[in-house]
Amino acid sequence: MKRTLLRTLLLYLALAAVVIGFLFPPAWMVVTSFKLGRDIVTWPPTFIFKPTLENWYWFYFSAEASAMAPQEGRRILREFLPNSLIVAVVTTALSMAVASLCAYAFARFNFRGKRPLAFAVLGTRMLPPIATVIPLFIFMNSLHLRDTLTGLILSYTALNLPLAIWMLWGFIKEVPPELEEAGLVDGCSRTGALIRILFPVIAPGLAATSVFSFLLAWNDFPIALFLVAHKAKTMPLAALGFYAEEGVYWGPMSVYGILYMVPTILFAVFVQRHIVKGLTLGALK
Amino acid sequence: MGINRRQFLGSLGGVAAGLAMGDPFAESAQGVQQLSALIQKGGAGPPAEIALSMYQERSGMKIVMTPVPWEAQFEKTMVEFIGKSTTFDILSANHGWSGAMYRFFEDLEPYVRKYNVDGRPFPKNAWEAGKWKGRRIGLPFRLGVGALFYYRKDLYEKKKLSVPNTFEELVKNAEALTSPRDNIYGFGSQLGGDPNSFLDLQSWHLPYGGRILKDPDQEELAPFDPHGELMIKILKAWKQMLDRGWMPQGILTWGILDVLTAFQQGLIAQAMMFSPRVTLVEDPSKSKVAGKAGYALLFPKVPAKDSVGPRGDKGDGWNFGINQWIPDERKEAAFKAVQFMVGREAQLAAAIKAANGPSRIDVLEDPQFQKVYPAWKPLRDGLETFHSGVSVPEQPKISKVVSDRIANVLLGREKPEDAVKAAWKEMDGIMKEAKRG
Repeated sequence: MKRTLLRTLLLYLALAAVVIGFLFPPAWMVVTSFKLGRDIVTWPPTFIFKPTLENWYWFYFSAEASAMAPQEGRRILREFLPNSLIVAVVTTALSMAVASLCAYAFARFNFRGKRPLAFAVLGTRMLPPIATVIPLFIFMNSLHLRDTLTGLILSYTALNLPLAIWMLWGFIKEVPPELEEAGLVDGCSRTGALIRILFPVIAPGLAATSVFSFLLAWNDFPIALFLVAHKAKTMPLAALGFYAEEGVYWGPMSVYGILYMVPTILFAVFVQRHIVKGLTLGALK
Repeated sequence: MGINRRQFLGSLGGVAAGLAMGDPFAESAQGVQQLSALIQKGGAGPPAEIALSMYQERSGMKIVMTPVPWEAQFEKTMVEFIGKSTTFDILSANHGWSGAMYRFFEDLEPYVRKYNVDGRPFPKNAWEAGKWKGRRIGLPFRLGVGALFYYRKDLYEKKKLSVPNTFEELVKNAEALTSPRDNIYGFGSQLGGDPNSFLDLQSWHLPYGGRILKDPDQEELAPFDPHGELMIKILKAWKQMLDRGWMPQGILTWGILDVLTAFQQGLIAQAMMFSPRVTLVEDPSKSKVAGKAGYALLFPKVPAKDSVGPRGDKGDGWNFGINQWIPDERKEAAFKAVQFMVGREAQLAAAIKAANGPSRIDVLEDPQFQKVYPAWKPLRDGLETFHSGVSVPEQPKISKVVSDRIANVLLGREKPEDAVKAAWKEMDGIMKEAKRG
């Protein structure tokens, strides 16, 4: 009994250490957002301080970007955040639409060159995204899609597809074809069977894959840095605005960090149940 | 409600076609009544914003400014150039980038002649730093001494110290100023690796006449003796200060901002930093040492017996130039804007309002500027001996080689003599390879 209690206690202590390790950075960011500049950089760090809303206030009421201010906070809320949401959501939707059809073809049909084609698709994923920056830049420039949300969406979709196709291929393979065949016998079209039968069954897989797609588009920095000039700025690019030669604007940057995290947390909460199911789908037979 | 295969595929095709052709988020190309400038976030950016906004008001020409941080500016600019993009009309180049970028900037020499731009108000070396291989890639907008010497005047007075003229004197001062009880270290430098350590090494090397590449064309490596030997002495001085605890141990991860913050917080009593940062040291809302700092050139009077060549002061600066891919009418318009930026009025406003290092002597000597900038005297002197340091296209490779060797020495993995000899050999290889093309 004593041994079990000790083991449980140790287990909880270990878990607490891990949780603290994970939560400390965001928690510190939240605390920093309520500190004055001088309290943020003080050494040793202060845990008791006079809280201020100055950094939050700056986000809502900052005037035109001035020479000495890092950037206009309101622009982040009115332009960068909506841009990022549009890019991430449309990229995810587009990636899922295209990848699910490709994966379906790979999983259900046999055709000449299937394996080489599948590996060619995966091969594009072997390149580090930064290596594609110059060709993408030239390509988008020639299509007049540079500095547009469309250009970003197409670029991210292209980068997302290999992983999404391979992930979904695995999920679709786990579903017996007899399920769709039963639908076809009952008069359903192939597309109908796909939409009414297969997609609901692999919903956890779709959810898990969509998380990866969303995160790539939401977090990408290098491609946006080079493809965007001034019209289609996304949230990761806004981070640059807090880092100037004169110093890091830690206070407003913490507020930005919090705002940046919120949509991903909401999205993760929304699909959490499916993710767990999706990641373990097929693990037990 | 069901859909058949044709409807399903048709809807997908429609979405794809709509995205590709309709391009709902794309906007039309810029008109010629508007110019676009790629500027730096921080540093040279805010002064450029002031100067360009003034031009906008005067000329009625709309100017869209896109700031990017220093860390990404080189790559961003190069991608724009390589992709033959016409998005930006006005771009800036740090002096060290000249060799890599000169092929992409419009040669401004014909414009300088056409519009009678007078080079005399600018320090001669700085005016020349706007040129590379006969092409004028830009006009000097921001100038400064890369390694102005910042010291705690109050502590100097207390310990009866004077501004060091040699490595040895600086090390002695560092020892005297170090006080573990008060949490003060004698010296701080940005030794966190490439390119910072390389920049600081050049800053110590140049005042003694040291050169890595032979002046003026920088096509060959300077002889190891005396230039490499001098570098060995510098590394020994740094290692000594680190081993004795006169520099903080964490300095091997420090960058520009760490040195600034440490000096502002009173953690280090001597430092070297880019001259425009004086304003940030003197800002009481950011600095605990405002009003307590003194400024001088690094090793202002090197004894003749120790010098190995003509004095140089590592200068840093920014030229503003024009994208060669844009149409001619935009080039003309862009040149007028750049010309305004380097004019007296814009330079004075940028220097006073945004701590710009003025590129004009008449602004440096203006009482309004001298009133707000206490280090104007060493800055003025430094611009006479201004040297851009290594500026060839191979500069990033050389910087990496030297920075890595510096790290080896400071971490005790290599002796200074061996590290510098190895660096010299590697740099020789780099320069020979460059010559072979």
